[in-house]
Amino acid sequence: MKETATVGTAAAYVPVDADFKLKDNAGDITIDTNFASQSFWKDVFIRYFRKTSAVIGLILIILISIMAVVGPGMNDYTYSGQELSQKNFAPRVKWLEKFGIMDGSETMKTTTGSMEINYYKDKGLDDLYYWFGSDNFGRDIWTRTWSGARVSLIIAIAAAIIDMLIGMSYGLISGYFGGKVDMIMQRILEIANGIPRLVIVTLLLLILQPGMLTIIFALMLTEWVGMSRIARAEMLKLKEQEFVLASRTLGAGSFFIIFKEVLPNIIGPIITQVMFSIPTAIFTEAFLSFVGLGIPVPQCSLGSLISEGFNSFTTHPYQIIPPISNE
Amino acid sequence: MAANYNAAPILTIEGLKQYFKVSKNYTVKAVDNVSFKIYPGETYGLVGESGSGKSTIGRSVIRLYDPTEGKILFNGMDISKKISKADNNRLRTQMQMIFQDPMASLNPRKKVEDIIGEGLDIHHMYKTRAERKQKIEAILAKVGLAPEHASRYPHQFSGGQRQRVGIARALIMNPKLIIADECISALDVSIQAQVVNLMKDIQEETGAAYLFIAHDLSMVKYISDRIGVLHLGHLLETGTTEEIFENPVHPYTRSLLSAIPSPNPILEKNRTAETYDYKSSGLDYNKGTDHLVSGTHYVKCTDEEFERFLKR
Repeated sequence: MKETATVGTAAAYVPVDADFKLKDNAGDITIDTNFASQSFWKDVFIRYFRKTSAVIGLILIILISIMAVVGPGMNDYTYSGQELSQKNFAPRVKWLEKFGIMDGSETMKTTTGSMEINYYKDKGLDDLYYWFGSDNFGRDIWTRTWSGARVSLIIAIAAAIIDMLIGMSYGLISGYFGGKVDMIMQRILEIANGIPRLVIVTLLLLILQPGMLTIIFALMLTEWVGMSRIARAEMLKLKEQEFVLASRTLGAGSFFIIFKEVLPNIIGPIITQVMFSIPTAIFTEAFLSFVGLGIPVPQCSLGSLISEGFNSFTTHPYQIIPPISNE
Repeated sequence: MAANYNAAPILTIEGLKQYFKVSKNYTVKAVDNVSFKIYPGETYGLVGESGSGKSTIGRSVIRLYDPTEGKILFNGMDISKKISKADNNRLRTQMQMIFQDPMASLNPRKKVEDIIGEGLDIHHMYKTRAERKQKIEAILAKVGLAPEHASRYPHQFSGGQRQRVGIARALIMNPKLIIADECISALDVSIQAQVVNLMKDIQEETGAAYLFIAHDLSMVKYISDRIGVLHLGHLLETGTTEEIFENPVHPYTRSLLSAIPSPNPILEKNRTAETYDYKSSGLDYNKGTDHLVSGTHYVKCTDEEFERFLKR
């Protein structure tokens, strides 16, 4: 009953002019608080730290980087110092040995059975501590692992820089200018990519000394090809977009468009590609060590430590665990 | 400021041809022998079906393409050939473009202030950061956005707001000619009116001339002072808006105009849309020359075609 009455009165309402005026059409109508404007980096920060796995990864990388700097100086051993009387010692750490772990003993398995041995006790070296154990030549694995990590980190950074500087620029420029420029640049790339790496590396052996520079040089020859492909593909996708045309109508130069307009839009695939190329670079380094072009002994890298530790993997597994977990 | 027809035209196009070579023996003639003039402060509407070369003309004029042949005079300088650096700088500041798709024409990774300020950055048009900021805020207010919108990204805006950002980007350079390439086609009808009215207000305030490219005839009628009808790359008919709408001469124009629906239901019931087919019409655009109908009203056709058109 009551409802019909309200409907009846509503129908009788005669609209007045004031009903058709916008209310509160003052300056504050343009201010809306739905999007509190946030800076780009603040947004990045919040999103990154919301993800646990990303934070754990970041902490590990920072930890490994710090240890690569300070690790080798934390005890008195050097990466090349040999003590042949103290080879293949198991890990022993001062505070942990009381709990029965890392006390310098290891279980040796043979065909007739297994036995536990502790070289430290057997030889009466009570004050001796190899934190990660010692290797086949009596060298401290702790020192070697961290100085190896140093080498590998340098190679990882070098690979990233090569990818970003050569690969990305090459792809972006080739894609943006197109036509003849693209045609010539792509043929050069195909030739560079077509020659097997082993051939190039063996030829390099003729003119270069083994060492870090040679590794970086070998990486520079072919490592950037994958990145340049991705950068070129992304550029081809974006260069006909209207915002690029708009930039051109404003008089922007080619390099402004390439690096300020297009690059920020393709940074996702680029970073992913860099991440893929870093392990490849580290394994390339291990491969170069194998053919004799890598890090010369007694220097070491994580790759060479793994290949050394692999030989005694079944008998002394502790020798391979630190470099692998670093990798 | 109304259109000033006594002044020298701001843009003169003579015999513009824009061909695209697809392969050795096939060339697309996107624009063929088009001539028209735009005077300071006026709006010249280019209409035609899709693929008729409207956008191509706009892009050739602003030199996103290199014209195959013909002359483009902008503000006294010839911009159809290779342009000197000084002329290029003048062209890039005095002629601006508003793009069709407000989603695609703004860089998604840039803040609105950087999108709008890009022209200022490229041409070093400010001395201090404060001056840049103040210029951007002034232009934002002009297109109806708030200063705090400056620090947002394009994806945080609605379509209409984005198109305003696109307009602001063109306006901040104080251009003499703005090419509006289907700048309302991608918008909602209610927002189309907003944007067109905004463009009209801005024209009154700054006296900029528009080359308004569209396929929506009612919008073109509303905003344009003069109209050019384009078909298959040929400018078939040009004249003031009244001349074209009151007395369409060319059969193509007549068919275009007869397709506009009428809001009056009685008229709409009796409206017959004329059909036009280039192949069966027996016309040859390539042979046509400009014939004066009256005033500024020209039709492109041959002599006997012209007489036939007028008899109707």
